[in-house]
This record gives sequence, structure tokens and C-alpha cells, in this order.
Amino acid sequence: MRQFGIVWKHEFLGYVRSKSYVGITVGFALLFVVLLSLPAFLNLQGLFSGGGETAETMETARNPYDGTIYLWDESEQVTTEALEAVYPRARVAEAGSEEELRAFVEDGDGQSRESGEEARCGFVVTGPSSYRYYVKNRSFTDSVGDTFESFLSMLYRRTELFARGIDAGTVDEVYGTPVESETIVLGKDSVSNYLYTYLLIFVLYFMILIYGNSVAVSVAQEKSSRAMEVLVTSTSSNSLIFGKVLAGTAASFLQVGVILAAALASYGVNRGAWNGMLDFVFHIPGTVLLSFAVFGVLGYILYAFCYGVLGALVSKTEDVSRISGPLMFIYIVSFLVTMFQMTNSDGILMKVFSFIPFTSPNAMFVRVAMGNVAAWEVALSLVILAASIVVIAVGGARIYRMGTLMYGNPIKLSRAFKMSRENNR
Amino acid sequence: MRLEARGLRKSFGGKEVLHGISFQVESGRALGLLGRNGAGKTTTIRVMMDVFRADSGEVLMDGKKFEPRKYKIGYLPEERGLYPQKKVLDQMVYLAQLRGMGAREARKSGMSWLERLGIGEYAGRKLETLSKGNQQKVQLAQTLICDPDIIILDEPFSGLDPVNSQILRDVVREQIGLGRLVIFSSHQMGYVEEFCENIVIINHGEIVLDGKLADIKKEYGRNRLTLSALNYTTEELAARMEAGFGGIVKVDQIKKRYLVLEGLCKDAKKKLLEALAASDIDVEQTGCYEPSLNDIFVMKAGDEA
Repeated sequence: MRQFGIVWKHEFLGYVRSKSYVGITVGFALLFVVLLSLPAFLNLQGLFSGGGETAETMETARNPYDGTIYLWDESEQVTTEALEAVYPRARVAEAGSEEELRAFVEDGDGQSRESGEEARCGFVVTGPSSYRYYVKNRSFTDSVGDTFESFLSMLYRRTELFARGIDAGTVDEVYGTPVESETIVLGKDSVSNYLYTYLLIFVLYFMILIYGNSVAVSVAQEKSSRAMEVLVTSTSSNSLIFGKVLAGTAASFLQVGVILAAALASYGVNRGAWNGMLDFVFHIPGTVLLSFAVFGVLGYILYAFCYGVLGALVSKTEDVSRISGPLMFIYIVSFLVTMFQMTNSDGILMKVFSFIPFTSPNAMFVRVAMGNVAAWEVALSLVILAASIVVIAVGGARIYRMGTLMYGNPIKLSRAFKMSRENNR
Repeated sequence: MRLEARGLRKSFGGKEVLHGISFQVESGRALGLLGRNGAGKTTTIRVMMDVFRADSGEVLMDGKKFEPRKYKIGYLPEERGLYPQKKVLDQMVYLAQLRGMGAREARKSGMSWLERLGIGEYAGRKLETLSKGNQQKVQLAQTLICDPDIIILDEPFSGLDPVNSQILRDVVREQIGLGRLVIFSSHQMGYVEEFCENIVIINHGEIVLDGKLADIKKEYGRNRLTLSALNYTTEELAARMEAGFGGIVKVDQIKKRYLVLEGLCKDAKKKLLEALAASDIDVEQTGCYEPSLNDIFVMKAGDEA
């Protein structure tokens, strides 16, 4: 136990004293604190609601098209002035016929050739509610045509209503009256739970893949530097692997804990200034955090043991990624399935996954956060996960002992297991 | 203290690599554990240190089951084993703590060993920034930091220049003089001859020679003579010996400067001297042959080139 403590301390300090660890932890914590405190000092209303903007700037923001628009309307329903108001940043020019408009869009008119303007389009109004849209190069986010369609449609409605003697303003008022509503969720609100659950799953993903891999690299480094030769004669392999895995767990959860605590505390203090706008990210209920901590820690330990054993099977750090590929694949499958099934957290697939040790950390966490899950299901899943960790830790420590002293090509897991049985340890 | 291996057998993957290794080593008398690469020396050491469990056989300390955890052991592995990217003293303290020392005590002892070996100034440097020789000295300091009862040195002299070798020699001699139990493994036979009273040669997982070095040398030198002549090369002299001295001696080995002759009859030495005096051979040097450890090693372990 004393040796485990020494290994744990050595490994833990190795993590937390590294510049990258301190940089990431402090950097992210400060970033969250600063960003989430901004509303207390600055008026960021406009950033989200746009309330401070003038109608003109809103229009510009909505129709940022700044190319040339040609217009040919024989019926003269649409005027260039009206179009200039709709597209405040665009140059609107009239064509003499559809053919001319087409030629302008294709090759440009005198002015656009002079300025080298490339963005060109044109509208041919063919009737009170019909038009043709010509465009030279249509961009992925092209909304010029849609805007014109709304404009023409509004123009048509007004003209028709006016012709029938109906006041267009009254109609707009009737149509535009918003419905006021209030949603009172008595159970879980999957809509608002969705984002922070999603984020926490991502956090666990990075922790397992990055820190888990670092456990494997740390073991492989001890082998490649032959420090293992001295270590195994000084201490038990159980102390080594348990120390490493649990130190990695503590370091990674400390890092995530510090960053998360900084973000949640900062948001808690500034929630009033934010007007609760980021509740869906930072207002995480205690039960969700608790289930993340429990399933996250156990899931991490399970994978970290596997990584530690895999690290012992190779002699060079370059081989770590190759040998840990299948384990990473298992985790990624568990991650993706959980992600895609998040909106169906009570589905059969999630139910099954929430009891399989390698997938339950993600699946059960999502079910607790978003679905309906009975207490006995959570307890059973925890027991299965904990039992699996014990089995893998005990078996893993044996393989680790054999693997750490065998050099050369990566050893097959089955062979290492067989040899560990032979060594009777 | 007397550490004894009795009939150690060990298999890996169905292949037996140690076929009943037995020997013993006493404190104050270093044991030279010799063998070719892959002969089973490191496995023997690991079995003795309880890293691997033997399939059969036992390891005893003063007649009782040996429990390595109860002793302070300093192990210098053949393949250097330290962390290249960690600071010198920090990792020494870590490894000493694992062997039961307190952190403060380990730091003090570690620093004093680094000073003694002339590398105190590197205590705060990363190991990989040191020269090979200095890394080797750190390895030795790490081995001795916890004032071990049992010291296992596997090729401790590799990578050291003559001055550093002398420093290490003094340290090893001092440790033997302090009554430590020392197992010394090396391919540099000169050092083994210098330090070890007893030797064990392992070949293909078996002990092929075991005993006091002085007795072994005497045994292998028995009834053997050396001879060199001023007027014959060694090859010519060997031919003369085979032709004219057949009943008295036969050529055992042709060395660069002299022949090793094996006496074939009683009073071979006397008869040879008489015969030489009567011959045309201008004797440069003759005497009793004492084989070097190198010769003995090649003889016992050099079965395949």
C-alpha cells in the first residue's frame, strides 16, 4: 500500500507539474471565468437579441448581398428604388429586356466590367406573382432569390388586398400577433438537457482517449527506457499499474473538475447578468453532475487499465497507437451510438448498452441525464461496471507483470495472458 | 548472509530456459555470474529477486526462504534503467522510496553518492542531457542510494572511460569490503578476476562451472606448461613439439606469444626441461600455465561460434 502511494504520488505529480497540464487547466478555467463574466461589465445584449440595432443595419445584416442586381419588369410592379431598399448594399440596375438582362448577368454591364464586379444576378418579373431568377455563380448560402420571393409575395398581397378594399395593416397585425406560451416541465427536460449532456459526453471522450493513451505511453516509456528493470525489482507490479491508472484518473478528473467548477461558478455568479440565457449549457443539475462523476470515473478507470496493459505489451512508444487501436475503436463505437441515440435514450439499444461495461459509462450517463431510468437499473449497471474493473485490474496486473519484462515485437494479448497464467501470479 | 539458489527451473511459453540452476553467494565475497548473451543470467537474477516465480527449485537466505522485500537490494541492470526525461535526483529519490527509504533520507543519500561519483552538479538536470558515462554513474548511485544489503551489478563498467572505471572499481571494492552480498555479471573478464572470489558460468540455462576462481584456475592449469622460443615462431615450435617431444607433452593451445603444453607423463616438466636443454630450441620463456578467466570462459561456454 505504501508503494502504491509512492507510485501514485510520483505519477500524479508528473501529470500536474507538467507545463501543458497547468497551461490547459489554468488557461481554460480563466477563459471560462472571463467569458462568462463579460455581461457583468459589458452590454452584450446586441450579441444575442439584436435589440440595439437600427432597422437599417438589421436589413443590411439580413441582406448582405453587395453585388449587382439587374431588373426587368415590363409591368413595372417592382421598381429599382424598391429593390434598393430591400438590398441596401447591392447596386440595382435596370435592363431593357430579358435578353439584355441575361447578357448583363452573363458578362456584366459597363460599370461592373469597369469595377471588375463578379457577383451578378437579375430578376425578370413575369407576372404579379411570378418571376425568373438569373444568377451567374450561385453560392452555397445564396438567399438573394428567397428575399426577392418574399418581397414579391408581400407586394402581391398588398396589391390584392388593396384592390379588394381590405386594409393591409390590419391583416398584418392579425397575422403577426405572437402566441404567448409557457412550458412547465415537471420531469426531465430533454430539450434543455441535450446540450450539456452532449458536452459532458464529449469531455469524457477526450479524457479517455487522451489520458487513457497517456497511461499506455507512460508504461511503454518505462519499458523502452528500461526503467522497468529497476522498478520491478523494487516494487510489485500491482502497485505500479494501480498507481499509474489511479494517478491518471485523479489528474484528468482534477483538470476537468477545475475547469468545470470555474465555468459553473462563474456562470452561477453572473447568471443574472446573462438572464439565464446559457442555462442549457452551464446550469447542470446535481444529479447529472453526480452521474457524470460516478460513471465517468469508473468508465475512465476501466479503459485506463486496458490502456495500461496494452502499454505493457509493446516495447516502443511508437507501437502504442497501433496496439491500442481496437480499444479505441470500441470506445468510439460506444461514443457514436450514444450520440446518435441521445434523442432516443430509452430505446432498446441504449438499454442494452447501459449494462455492457465498455459502453455503460456513456449510455447509462445519458439515460440518467435524459431518459427515464429506474434506480435499480443504475445500481445494476454500476455493479457490473465495478465488477468488470476488478476482473480487468486483477487480470491486467498479471499480464502487465509478464508484458513489462518482454521486449521486442508487440506481444499478442492471448500469449501474454497464457504466459501470465504459467507464471502463476 | 548466504544467498543460495537450489535447482531453479523456469519455462516460458513451454520452453525451459533454466534447467536447474544451483549456486551460492556469501556476503563479503563477490560472485561472478558469467555466461554468453541469452544464457539465462538475467532470468536467474529475476527469479532470485522474485520477479518471476520459478517452476521448481528455491531461493534461500541463510537456509530460509528468501523474501526479497525484506532486504534492501541494489540492482544495476545490464540495459540501463532510468527515466531519460526526469531530473537525476528526483528519480533516484523515487526509486529509493520504492525500496523503503524516506524522501528526505533518500535525497541526502542520493546527493552524497552523486558528489562522491563527481556528478553532484547534475542532480537537477534531466538524465538525457548527461553523457553516457555520467548516466552510468547515476545508475550506480541509484543502485547504492539505499545502502543495500544485496548488490547486483550487471555490466557496470560499460561506457566508462579509464578514470571513471577506476572510481567505480574503488566503489565496488569498498562495497565488498563492507561485507555486502555482491553478484557481479560482466563480459569483461578482467573485472571479474579482480573482484570475484567465486564464479558461476551459465550456458544454455545450465551451470557449466562453479567454484572458487583460484581453485578453478589451478585445476585448469594443472599439468600444463607454457613455452616460447627465440629461434622459432609459435607455429614452428608447435610442429617441433609434436615431432620430437611426443611422449612427454602435447600441444594444448597455440597462443600468439607462446604455446600451452599438456604433460603426458609423470615428471613431464622435468623431462621436458631436459629434452629442451638437449635440443636446438633457444628457450625464451617457460613456466607453469595459469589460464585466464577468459580462456576458461571460452572453453566452457564457447561451444558454438
